[in-house]
Amino acid sequence: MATDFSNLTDERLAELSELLASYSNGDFSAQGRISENFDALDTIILGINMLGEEIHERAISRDFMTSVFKAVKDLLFTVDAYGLITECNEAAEYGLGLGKEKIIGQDLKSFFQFSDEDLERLNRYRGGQSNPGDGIGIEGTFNSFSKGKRYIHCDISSLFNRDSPSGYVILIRDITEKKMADKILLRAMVSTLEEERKRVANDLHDSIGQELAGLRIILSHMLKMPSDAGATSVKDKDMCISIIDHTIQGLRDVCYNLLPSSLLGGGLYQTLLELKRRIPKDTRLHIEYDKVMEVFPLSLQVDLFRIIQEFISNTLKHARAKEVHLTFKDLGKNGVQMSISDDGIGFNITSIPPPGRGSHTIKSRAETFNGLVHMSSSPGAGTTLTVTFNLENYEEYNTFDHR
Amino acid sequence: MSELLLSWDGPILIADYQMKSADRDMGESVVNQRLTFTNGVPCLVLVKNQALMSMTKGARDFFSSEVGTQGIMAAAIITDTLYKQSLTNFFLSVTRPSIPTRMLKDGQKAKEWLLTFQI
Repeated sequence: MATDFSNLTDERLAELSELLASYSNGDFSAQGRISENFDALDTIILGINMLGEEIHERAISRDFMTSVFKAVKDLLFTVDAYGLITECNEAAEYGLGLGKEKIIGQDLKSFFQFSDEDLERLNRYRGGQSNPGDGIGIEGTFNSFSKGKRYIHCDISSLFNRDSPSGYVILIRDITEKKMADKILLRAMVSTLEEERKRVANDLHDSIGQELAGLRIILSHMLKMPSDAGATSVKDKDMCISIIDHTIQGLRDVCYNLLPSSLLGGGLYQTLLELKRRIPKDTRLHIEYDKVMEVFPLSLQVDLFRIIQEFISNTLKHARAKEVHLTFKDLGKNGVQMSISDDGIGFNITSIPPPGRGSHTIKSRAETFNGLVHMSSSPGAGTTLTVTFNLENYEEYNTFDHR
Repeated sequence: MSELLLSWDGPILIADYQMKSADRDMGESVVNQRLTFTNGVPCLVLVKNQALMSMTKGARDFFSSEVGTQGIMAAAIITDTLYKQSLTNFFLSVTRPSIPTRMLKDGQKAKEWLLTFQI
């Protein structure tokens, strides 16, 4: 096939030159005109046109991916098969406090610290012992340029170039706040458990222990008395019965505080009535109940009861309230809402130190059921706590089946 | 006039493109015509580009995709000019069809090559 350039003219060469200039300026959408001759110059222009179409599409794709890369607020890296960084985003530069030129080519492990166990998992992943499509997640730490030591979670996935593995993409998220919140919550739970143990021990010691000790003294005294003691003996026996009655009541109180038997036997409403009876007479509890609560799992009813108990306990200790109103509202598809308020002295909610143990426990109990907690209070205006549960499949929460 | 003329030469399907240019929609149309003609039975295809002088990127991508090559065991493309050779060469080397495809000038050699894929 001989190449025929006989049809070339200055005009067509100028068009070709213009087309190449457009490409040089990054405008790959330009297309050269092909004549009806389909000659050698047309062949060249055809090739340039098709090349332009390919580059144009790749440039759009590259620009889009670059903007995604920049928009990601987490630290994003690509590394080669040896763990050496090949690219990073602006968030990574900012987080490490280094320019890209000082990051690229470095081993990822020179910036981030991982446990031996996680490094072993990473090596297994890189060794192909896991499905490359799955990716893995590991945790570690690093020293942030602006924030000091930070806890991180890394999502690592294989990167492919035309179906061949070409390294890894690593997304690093700062989880320090979450870690701290988890620690506070765990501490609050451990402290609550310890306080509960202490309270049970005190209850057993102060009431039942004392009463049994008293009973022992009386019985010892009775054994030493002559058989014909008469009226004195009868008086002591009456006292023994009275002490035993007190002990039984004390034991009931201890059990009630651990887990009210009425909750297991009669449900939340019966338990709230019992709670109402136990509240000192100078504070009145009004309950507006909705039977919808009975269909919820026992574990939710227990948590709700604990939340109410916690609120009332705080009210009795600090609020000097006369009235406490407790209402349940069926929100239909939006779930159910529990609201409890007192007419006590209230407090400045913004000046109270970070959420106290009680409110932490209330929040964590509610969160296990996707509950939203809202507390409002101000000096002289009482306190209100609202918890809204939106349980679409609440059966799955029934992990407390004692029935 | 039909965009595509189809005929059998023994076990080989001869596909003669009649359109001057092809875009993706046209690509889908001719693939449907081919599949209707062959009842979807996999076959060897000899492509004659008598008229086709340009293909959009969409058409090139479609013709090389799994959908565009559905029902083709192997394809040979006959070219008779430098211009068509350039067009076909770009298609084969850049877009990369997912089935064995070769560009040839000689129709007889193209058939011989195709018959090596006959089951």
